Amino acid sequence: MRPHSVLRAALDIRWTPSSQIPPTFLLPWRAQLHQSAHSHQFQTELPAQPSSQPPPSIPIPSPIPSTRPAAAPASPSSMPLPRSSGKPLVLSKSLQQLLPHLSAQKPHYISAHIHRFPYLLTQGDTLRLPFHMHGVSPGDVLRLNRASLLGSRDYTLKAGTNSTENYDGKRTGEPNYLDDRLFECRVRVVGVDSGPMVEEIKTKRRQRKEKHVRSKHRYTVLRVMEVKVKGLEELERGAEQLILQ
Amino acid sequence: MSTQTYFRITLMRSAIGLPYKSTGVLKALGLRKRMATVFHPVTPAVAGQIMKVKELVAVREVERPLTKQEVHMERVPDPGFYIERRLGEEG
Repeated sequence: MRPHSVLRAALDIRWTPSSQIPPTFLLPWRAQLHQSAHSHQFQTELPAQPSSQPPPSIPIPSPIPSTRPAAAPASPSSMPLPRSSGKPLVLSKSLQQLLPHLSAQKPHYISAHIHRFPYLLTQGDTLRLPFHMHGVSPGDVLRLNRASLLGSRDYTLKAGTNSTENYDGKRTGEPNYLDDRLFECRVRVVGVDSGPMVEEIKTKRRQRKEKHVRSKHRYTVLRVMEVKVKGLEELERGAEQLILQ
Repeated sequence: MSTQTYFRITLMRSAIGLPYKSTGVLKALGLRKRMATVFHPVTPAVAGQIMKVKELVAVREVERPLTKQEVHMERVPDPGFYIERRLGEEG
């Protein structure tokens, strides 16, 4: 199923042959990235889809609020944080309907958050983090458990937006994340990259002395081993508390 | 009063350029710099102080005051990962 053909069927918009590229605001986010490269192929290769197909975006009606343990460990521990372990996993009706479509359509991408910064990843990617991750060594397997976006070519599962009322909470609060039982994302630590030696010359006024400050930064390199969106059967098998509503 | 509640007061805007009385009220509340957070019990006196600087602060009513360390920990982001398997361990 192609996103803009569904949209065209849903909105009954007729593209003239001269304007093969649909306007970008009509495309889902994934298609916006590649529309210049692939839009012509979409038009020629693919048959029209019936309009009864589900929409490409799957909103979660009730995002799980971010709860932080009182004494959160600063260092990466070897155990997952018990963010959602106590709460039952609630799947809404639309999610039950559309999650099989999403999980069946590979490959998946994920917007995983490491220290609150988002990284758009898919399987096989090499990610050079903008920092040196301490406490890990090459060969270790990390599991990313905070994500705000899961998607495939036609489907997107988003965490809801933050609806905080207090003014200071907007600045300091954590973004909303998807439940970490819905997906599995594994990355392997490949090694440590290093940037170039940067030498900065510091001077002060009315003095001939120059201070040379040298800095060389190191960056952890990760490779994405697996991005998997779990299906309904797997969730029913794995989760002890599952509420279907 | 059945349960004592507290104001959680955060200074969002500084009092630079305002009358000195505003600076004095902020000093009395214990707010020295922007984004600083203090806790005071809900009393008419504190409510009057907040009303004097209501354009500068964000106020929320909370059950218990947090320590300075806990306020700081609210700002520390979630790591977002954990080590599933070390090198050499069996999978």
